[in-house]
Amino acid sequence: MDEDMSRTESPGPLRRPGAAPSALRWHRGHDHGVAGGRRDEVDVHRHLQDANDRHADRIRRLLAEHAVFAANLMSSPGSGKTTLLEATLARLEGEMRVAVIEGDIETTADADRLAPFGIPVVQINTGPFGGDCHLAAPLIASAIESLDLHQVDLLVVENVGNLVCPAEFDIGEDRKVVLLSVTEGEDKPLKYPLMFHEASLALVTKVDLLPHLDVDLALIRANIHKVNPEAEVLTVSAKTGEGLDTWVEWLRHAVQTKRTGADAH
Amino acid sequence: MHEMSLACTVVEEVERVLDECGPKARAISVRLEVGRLRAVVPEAMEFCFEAAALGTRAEGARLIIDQIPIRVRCETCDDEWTLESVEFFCPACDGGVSVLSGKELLLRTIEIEDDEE
Repeated sequence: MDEDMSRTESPGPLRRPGAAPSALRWHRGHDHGVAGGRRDEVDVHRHLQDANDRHADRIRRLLAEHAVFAANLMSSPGSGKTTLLEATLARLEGEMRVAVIEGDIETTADADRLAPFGIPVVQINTGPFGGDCHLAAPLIASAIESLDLHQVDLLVVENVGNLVCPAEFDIGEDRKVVLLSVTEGEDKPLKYPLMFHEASLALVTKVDLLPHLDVDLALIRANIHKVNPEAEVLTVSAKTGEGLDTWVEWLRHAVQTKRTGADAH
Repeated sequence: MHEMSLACTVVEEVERVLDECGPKARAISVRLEVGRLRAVVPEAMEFCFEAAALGTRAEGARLIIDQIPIRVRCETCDDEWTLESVEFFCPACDGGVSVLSGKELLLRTIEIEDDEE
């Protein structure tokens, strides 16, 4: 057992709040603190993600009811989420109905870039100066309320650029997709393991830059598979179009599977 | 950075429990269980908790963080071990592993002092 885990200052009886609140004031196991008051250790045992996960479950049910496939796109800032999205939307135009939720700490720049596609885009700003560095499920839940899910086949959530926190929050998506651009270095999957561990698909982006860089693509793949042996890895370039057919096919298949699953129910 | 929103959630929970315990109850210490996969930096978490607790009934409480190691089990040979580096496969058979612990994010206990007689 971890050394930290055996540290306990005042064992004593553990109590759950709520059952009998008044009992917390008076019970046999109390100690007298420095100030002379009674000391009591209350067993709370509360998962800090509970509130988020309840919202995520509600979102998941809503998406299932409407047979909408939701992909959560995550990456560090600047690895090409919005550019990939533009290239993806251009290919899917007229083929399926896409809606996008854009998450940023500030600005509507990304939503503005997608305006030419004429699709529903909801911009979430988590707010500057201490604004959240990720999208949590309650924000997604209220963003979804402004969408008509009957008119949507594919919902893409572009998360706040950050390789750490977005991985922590279930937003009710079907799949987490992580982007890693070739300029970020081969070691990122090992340095930000939770993100790559949670993702079903990893897109290595900007591969058009490979001839100009000392980057080992095989090592990027190997490092992704170290933290997640089951992850699919695709290489793409939104600039040249390389690999986009495979990525778009992945989306088509996912949307189709979700629809078939919904029909079967 | 996610330490701040986590700290705010902890403070909300502590206040909720204190409300149930009585008007004069105050928190002495707050104990969290945090899995190593959660990438929570204890020092950052302590700092954020102190800041988030200011002006609340959790102000001044000590935050204790128990870090939970990442335990995995090989799905093929059933071996269990603690991950020291982030390699989620079995070194013996190369098989996939399931994560047994390391994702915890739990408010365990709150030590409460109550002056009321």
